[in-house]
Amino acid sequence: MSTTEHDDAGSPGTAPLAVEAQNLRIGFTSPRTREHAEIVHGVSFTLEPGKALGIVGESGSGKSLTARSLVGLVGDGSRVEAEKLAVRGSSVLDLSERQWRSRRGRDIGFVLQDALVSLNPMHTAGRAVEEALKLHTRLPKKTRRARALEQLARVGIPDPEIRYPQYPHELSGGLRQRALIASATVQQPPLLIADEPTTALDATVQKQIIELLKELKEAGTALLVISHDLSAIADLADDILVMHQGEQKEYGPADQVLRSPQHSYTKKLLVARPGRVLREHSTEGATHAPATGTSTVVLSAHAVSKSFDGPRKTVRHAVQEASFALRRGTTLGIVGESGSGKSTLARLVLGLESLDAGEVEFLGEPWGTLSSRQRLPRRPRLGFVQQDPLSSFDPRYTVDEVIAQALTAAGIPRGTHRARTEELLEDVGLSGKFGKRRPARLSGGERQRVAIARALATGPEVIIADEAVSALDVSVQAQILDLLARLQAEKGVAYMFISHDLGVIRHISHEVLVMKDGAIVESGPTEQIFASPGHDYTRLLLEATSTSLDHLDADIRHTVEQPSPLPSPSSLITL
Amino acid sequence: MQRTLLQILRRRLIGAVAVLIGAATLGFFAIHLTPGDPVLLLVGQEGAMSDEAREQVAARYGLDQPLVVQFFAYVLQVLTFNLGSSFRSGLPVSQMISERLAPTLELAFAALILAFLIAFLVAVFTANTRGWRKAIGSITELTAASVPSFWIGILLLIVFSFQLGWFPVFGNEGLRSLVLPAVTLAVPVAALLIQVLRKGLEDALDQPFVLAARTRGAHETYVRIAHGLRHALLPAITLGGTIFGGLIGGSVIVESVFNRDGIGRVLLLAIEGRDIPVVVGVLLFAALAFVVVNTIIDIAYVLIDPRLRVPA
Repeated sequence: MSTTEHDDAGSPGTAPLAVEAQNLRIGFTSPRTREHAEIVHGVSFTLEPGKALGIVGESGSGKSLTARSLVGLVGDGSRVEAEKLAVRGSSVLDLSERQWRSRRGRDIGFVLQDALVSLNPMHTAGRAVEEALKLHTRLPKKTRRARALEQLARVGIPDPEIRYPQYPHELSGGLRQRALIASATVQQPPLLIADEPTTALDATVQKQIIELLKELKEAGTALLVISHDLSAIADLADDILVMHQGEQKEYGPADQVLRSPQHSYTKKLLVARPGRVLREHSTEGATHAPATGTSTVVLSAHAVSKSFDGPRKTVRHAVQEASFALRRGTTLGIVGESGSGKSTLARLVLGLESLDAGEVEFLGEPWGTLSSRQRLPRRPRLGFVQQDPLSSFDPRYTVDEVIAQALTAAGIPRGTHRARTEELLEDVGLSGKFGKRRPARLSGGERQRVAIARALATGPEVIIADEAVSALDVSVQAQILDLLARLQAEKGVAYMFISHDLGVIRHISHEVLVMKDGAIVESGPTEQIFASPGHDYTRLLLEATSTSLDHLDADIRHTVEQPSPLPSPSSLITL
Repeated sequence: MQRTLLQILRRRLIGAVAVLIGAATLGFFAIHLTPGDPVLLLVGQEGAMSDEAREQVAARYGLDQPLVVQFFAYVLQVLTFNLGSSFRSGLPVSQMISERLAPTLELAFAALILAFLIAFLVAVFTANTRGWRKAIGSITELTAASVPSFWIGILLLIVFSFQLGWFPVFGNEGLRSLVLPAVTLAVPVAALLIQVLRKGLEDALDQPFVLAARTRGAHETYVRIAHGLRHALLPAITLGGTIFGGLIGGSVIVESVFNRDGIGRVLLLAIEGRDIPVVVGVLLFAALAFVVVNTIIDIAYVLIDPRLRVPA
């Protein structure tokens, strides 16, 4: 094929492949030692116009590097080698920076994850969308503006005239992501790469963004979508490529990969999907909530409310008359989208915010209206696990010290610390050698285990977990959820488990509470909520999270017959 | 946005009054607690005058009153913008300050702008680079930070005034006389600003939105200026404001080296001569300058970062 690029793109019949990669290898050379370390070991795929390829893998699998090699932004000291790496029929190996620049944003659009940080907070949405035009064309300002408005409308942003001069912080998560997509597609690039386009978004918004990407695909754009979550792209991708530690594990039509995965790693990814397993488990007849309704209530809220002063003398009702009861040894799942008030409810229960009205009772006595000094004696009985434990650890402390600090705070004699720490780390599946490490040197899953060990250190009756598994890869998520279930069975601890992820909530909860705009719109036993949601909002949430993958579950069960590399999450819940 | 700006102005106006009263109080007592009899200084030579004459002078300037009475009288005066008269020259303090203010402000502004220009160039050119560009950045920063400013001043004078004769040796006539003192004053300031700007720029260049801009085809210089600089500007402006206050007060050395008239020299002579009204006057003026500069910074913040435009 000729090296003059744009000419032959539209010729009928011989339309070139949008992307062709053969044995793509990416590595980095250290500037000091001159040593070369290969990260991506030989990936091959093709992508046709109007089709979508999903690259799936966990963090560190090399999927993002693979995508970035198509825009020449792998990073300093990188080396990209391949037998063939072509975009729209012309090789992109050994392009100069200038040649790359002329392609980026014009031939190839790239949408990064999380528009909140991928849009410059100091530039308006309009300016971001216009940027590619400004860099690639000599269009006058007025034309650029018109094109940007047009593009904002095309990606489904209502009232583009209003949104154009607004800054990212003035837009909702969904609008921001749409604006980001608009900024990558304003030049109508024939190839669009999206790196985790839905990851930081609420479920209903995720669904909308997937729909938008689908429309772009149907309009003829070739789509390369990257995700750590198979279910997020199952509806979108025509082909799926599974990567693990830089290697291509599986590649084929989406249906085939999902229905009859050949590689054990793909199966592991499919099994690890939270939510799926529980359903499989409950259809076998085991009831999930042996304790509900019988054991004593350890934590309860009675019509608690909290509001904050908003801008311009408005009042934001973060939590309105919320009530619940958490029984010993059970899990109460709280689900809702961002801004629904679920984290504020957790902070109220923890006593980190004062109540405006209502009362929280803990271990049968008033709790929420007490002073922090009065709460002190019962404080060790209430544990807390956060989304990102790294920022809640002092980076200078070793794991042992992090846990010893919690023991000290609970007034446990110093002499017993060493034995107790070892015991706790063993409880959460970390052997003794982890005690000497510092948090920065742990993986995400290991950190979360340490955070759980710390929460357990004081012998709590209740642990409040706020998005405790949301930042983790799916297979690690499953491990942590298993761990929580095992600890509950062993120690009888109750969880108040907050998540935006319905799958996770369904996996772990005995009872579920659905929040929207500060109010509890629905609550009840998990299976009842999921089987027959009573509120429109719950139905909307459920609908948004269901994907074509759900229909495949039955098939998958048959394919995963050999013992999976992971302990099956469901086998532990019934302990 | 206008609401936010009005809020800032209102808050600062209240702050300004409080700062002025505080500064007047501190200045007044600091001067009175230092040893030495102001009456003697007023008259000039010690012992050359009768007790009777001494008392007359003290009475005329109110120095015979109890300290508390003097203090309240002074605060009242300050609040009506009357700073009194110099003990030495008899001229109104406000007139002395305003006459000498222009050269100092000129110098401070010129130095600050120059420092920012140097810092912008060095930071944009060297942030996040390796090899020789990084070396240029480090060397510039280190040299500028470690060389004492009077030494730079003398060096500049020797080279550009005595040898080349490009710039006048001293005085404050015209723009040419401003160049060397401004450079002298700007160099150490630039060193600080380079550090802050470069750090800010490097942080900004690590942000995902910079990667996003690159994926749209942005080239390196564009990314640095359009996306990086504005983020790096906020901390640099904060620092610049503090420095500007310091430049006004700290122009003494440079004004001495280059023999320029200015507020620094007024202050120096006043302290030497224990000229209380002038010292306190300059002090008040410096405090006011800080308030004004910080107000400007607050406004600049809001103009630069749209996220701050929400009324608190």
